Amino acid sequence: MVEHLIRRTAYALFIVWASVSCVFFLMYAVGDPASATLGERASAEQLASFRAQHGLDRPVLSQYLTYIGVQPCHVRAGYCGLLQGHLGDSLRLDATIASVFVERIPRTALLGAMATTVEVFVGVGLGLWAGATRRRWVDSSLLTFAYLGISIPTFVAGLIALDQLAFRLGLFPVGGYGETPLEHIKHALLPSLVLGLLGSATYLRLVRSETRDLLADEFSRMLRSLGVSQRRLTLRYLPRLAVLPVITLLGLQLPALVGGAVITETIFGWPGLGRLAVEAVYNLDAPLVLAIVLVASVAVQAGNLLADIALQLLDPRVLRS
Amino acid sequence: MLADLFRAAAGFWRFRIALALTLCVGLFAIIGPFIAQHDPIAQFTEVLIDDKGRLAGPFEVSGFWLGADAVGRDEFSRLVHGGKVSLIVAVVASSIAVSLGLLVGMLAGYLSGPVDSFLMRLVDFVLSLPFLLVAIALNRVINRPDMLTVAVLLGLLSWTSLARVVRTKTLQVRRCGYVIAARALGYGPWHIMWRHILPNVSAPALVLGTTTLGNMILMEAAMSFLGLGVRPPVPSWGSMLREAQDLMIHAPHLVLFPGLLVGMAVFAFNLMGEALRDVLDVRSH
Repeated sequence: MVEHLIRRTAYALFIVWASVSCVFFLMYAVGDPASATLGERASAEQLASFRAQHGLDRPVLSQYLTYIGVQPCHVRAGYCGLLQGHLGDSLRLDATIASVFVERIPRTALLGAMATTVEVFVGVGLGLWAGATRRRWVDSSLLTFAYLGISIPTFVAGLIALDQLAFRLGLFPVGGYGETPLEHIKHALLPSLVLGLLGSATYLRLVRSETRDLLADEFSRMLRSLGVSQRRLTLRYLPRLAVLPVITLLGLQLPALVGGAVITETIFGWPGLGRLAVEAVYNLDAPLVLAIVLVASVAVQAGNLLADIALQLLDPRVLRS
Repeated sequence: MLADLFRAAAGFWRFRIALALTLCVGLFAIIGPFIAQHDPIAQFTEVLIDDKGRLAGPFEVSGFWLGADAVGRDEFSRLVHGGKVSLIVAVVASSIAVSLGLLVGMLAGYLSGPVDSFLMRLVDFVLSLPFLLVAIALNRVINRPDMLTVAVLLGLLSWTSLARVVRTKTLQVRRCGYVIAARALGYGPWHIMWRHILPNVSAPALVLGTTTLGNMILMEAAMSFLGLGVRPPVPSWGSMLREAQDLMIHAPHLVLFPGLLVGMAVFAFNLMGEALRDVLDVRSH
């Protein structure tokens, strides 16, 4: 178990390193951050001094090595020393990336956590219902709901919900983030409901087929023959087993959540990491883009790792194999 | 072989519904551009926008069936041409994704050893890249991309899940007697992969490829919605949603039309994938 975990962690670190390096060279190829930051009208001297100040005038390999932190760093601003724990400064925002993240990450995390909660509870609940029910119409209407959830894009459902529920009926605040913690949650309610209901479709289908399989399994037949009612079986015994694949899926869904944040935050005007990412790429703010990729990729790998561990703890069968 | 498949599939009601829906979407995007009477890019301000700046709604001006879009272009023409763009992007991207997935999956599964571990590491790596972020960044490299660039980009980022499925299937097939026999007869790996393994992995490839079509429509719409897809003023369903977004309150139908079409197209391809899964009896996980 411990050896397995060490190997998995090393592999996860390798993937993070590969993603960050790939994006580093990609950003270098994308264009000149100096002219993107200072604008078209900047003079040659201004550009040159900006590059010198941020260490952008050196060869790309040397920039990369200082960014990773293998080579010592001589410039004050810009990017250097990842291994020493420095994320660097944003080229445009005139702030350290760490300070920007302290503000932005909790917002994206709040929205993600609320959406995932809705997703899992609705998905698992309806999935158990669809899998256990003997009424065909219940099953097929739940499946239709699942198909719709998979097919309707977030930005269509989001726009319509925003127009109808927030603007016309006034049930929710229209976009934005609010001032107090309570307001944050209120503002996050509509986006997380839209995301959660659409996202629950994947879980619904998974749990439904898992429940079907489990009900056909010997273990269910034995419990039934011991006098456990069908109702008690589905409510008490099946959930614990049926959620096992959900945990793996949760880990796998993290990239989608991180990627989806870009769209969600754009529609609902939520000032989190996703919108920051779009702005950063537009402005060619390379250190900021890299830092966001790093955070996203660490989150994804950590999610997979946690799902792996949780699965081992919950399902003794995995340990044995 | 396709005819057999079709005959076998026609018995499944799910396949029939999926086929009908797919045909609807396909015909809309393929025949629509011939029916539409107006240039999707031209503005008809005098006809479609009145003195007070109000946009003509659906069925208000003859010849302009669905009225004006946000800046006085013909909404219907833009919808059908946008559909054409979305479908072309989806088909090209899915073809790339399926070919790459098949190639990588079969190579990894059949050759195994270091090739396998390298390719699977590559899969993990591509899978861990934040899809939209990379798409955005690549979009800046290729300043103002056209349809094909977007398609290639999407294809290059979405072959991974198919590669995994194909690899697993290949690992099962390579132990079969006929593969061992072919190897004993001295056939090379390319011949064996082409003649003996490909027919075995084509069913999951067909199923996943169909679902990928739907996903690609979704991704293209998402990219265009963010202003990163096909270059305006070329219409696409995503960019139409983007343009209609600010007019949501006054003209909700401008969001509804492209929104419904994206949803319907994705739904049709997803259902088609599921139906093919039933027909071909492919196990889901």
